Amino acid sequence: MVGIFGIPFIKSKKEKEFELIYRQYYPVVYRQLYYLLASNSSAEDIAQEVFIKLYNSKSSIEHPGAWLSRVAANTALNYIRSEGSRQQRADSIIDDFEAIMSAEDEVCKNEQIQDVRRILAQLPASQRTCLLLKFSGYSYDDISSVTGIPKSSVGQMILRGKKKFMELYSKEGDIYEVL
Amino acid sequence: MKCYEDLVLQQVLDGSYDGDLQEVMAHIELCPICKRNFEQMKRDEDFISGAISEGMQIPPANFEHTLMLSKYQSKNDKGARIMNSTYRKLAAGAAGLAIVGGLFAFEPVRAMAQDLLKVFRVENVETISISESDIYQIDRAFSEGRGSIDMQDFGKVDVVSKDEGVTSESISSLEDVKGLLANAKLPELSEGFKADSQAYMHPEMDIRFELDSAKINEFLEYLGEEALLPDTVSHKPFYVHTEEGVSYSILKESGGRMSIAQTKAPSLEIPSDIDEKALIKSMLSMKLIPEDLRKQLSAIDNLATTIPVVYNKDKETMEKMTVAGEKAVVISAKDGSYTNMSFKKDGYLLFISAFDGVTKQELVDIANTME
Repeated sequence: MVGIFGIPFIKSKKEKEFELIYRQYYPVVYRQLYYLLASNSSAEDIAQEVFIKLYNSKSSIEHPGAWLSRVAANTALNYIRSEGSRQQRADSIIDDFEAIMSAEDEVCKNEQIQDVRRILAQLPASQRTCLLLKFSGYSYDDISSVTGIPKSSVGQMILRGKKKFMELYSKEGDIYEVL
Repeated sequence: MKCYEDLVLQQVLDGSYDGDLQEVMAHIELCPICKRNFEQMKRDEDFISGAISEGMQIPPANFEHTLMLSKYQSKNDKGARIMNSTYRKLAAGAAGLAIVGGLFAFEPVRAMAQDLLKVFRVENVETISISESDIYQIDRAFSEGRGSIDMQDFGKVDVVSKDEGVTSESISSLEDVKGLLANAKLPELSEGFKADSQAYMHPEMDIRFELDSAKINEFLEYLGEEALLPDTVSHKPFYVHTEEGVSYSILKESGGRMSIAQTKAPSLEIPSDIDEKALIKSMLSMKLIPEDLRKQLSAIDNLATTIPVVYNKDKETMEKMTVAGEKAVVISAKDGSYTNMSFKKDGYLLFISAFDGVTKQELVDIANTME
């Protein structure tokens, strides 16, 4: 609420809709970006950028969750590519995730985070994508619509991804024993 | 009854099971195998979620800020990558100094800057509260009127910065801030706190408003309002002028951040042929202003020289205290996620925010050292 002389500025219908989507999905988009980039400041910057793109999008958006996850992945990918090399955009979100997770990340020094990323990198691409989207907070509908994986198979992808993750984690070492 | 596959249990965990959830839950309660399985899946779920979220700190969602940037972006160069998060916070903060930030009840220091304009300068810091139901009432007044209202129909708002914008400077200690703003009030840092390596200079900025009173009045009449805006305000510029300022952050080594911004008080300029008292009176008599807001606003003597900004009493608490020998207003989120403090000292306004793990007490202690 911003006001002059006590009269609050009134939000337009577009702004109200935008606010609803923003409040619902901000943490979801943020988590997705953090899982991809392992950096709070990048996640914050890109989440902001994604919502600005949403506000300024010309076409009407029917499934905001799917739209946001796709644009977030794509924006994150452009972000980690050097300025000069903004080549072709990958067609599928699974390719985007793959490209981001396999990129060199020297930014993150935390060993625990490095371990987790190594494990994620070993999961099959579609399992990894479903798993990370699910933990971000997207619905099966959103995940299905953005990955092209049938909704009936999304649960299976998540389940397999989880099992594989746990397997690799206990192989990888001692941290699991802490539990 | 047959046991459930892991897939079903996973769908239940994800809230995506299409069958009879009650039935599954009842079975899990009774069947030791499924129960153990389900519990194990939940533990794995928590474990993975924790592992991939290691180090993650989701900042509080700042919708107003995002909206402002979005609108700005829609009018400007779309290709340009917008600045980093700190810069953006501060840029919004600079506009916030003028518009948001606390409620400033000012004693009017009226300087006739030019013959054309009356100038009022913020003198004191005060607050006003708004409740969720007030917000709802105002929203409803408008949505019942014409559905969707775009402020752009009612006039124009432009932000004009005299320089290229906020600039960032590297600093090696807090003392360096004085090189940016000679009169910077600096805190003394106690154990466990250190200055961030960047400080920011904020240029002077003019926010220009121009109202279309005919359109506004048409709308007010439609709402059944009797009080209308005088024609004299139409298409005349109102300015909020902000002065040069500086901002910087203090990091808490165990996690957390404070940001400190300092600027000379912003001023408001209105056309000299406008009777601000009559204008305010007509605005306050509008029905769309909820009664308790009207009472609070009417109780302020010099409302004509006030840019009131409200705090949400359902989500925030407000208290007044003395900080560094000055009257300060402290607004805290009820969920504890942030605390904002504003006060005026030696002609400067100071805004200090604490979040991500810096407590209100730490904020007050640090603010008390600012001389």
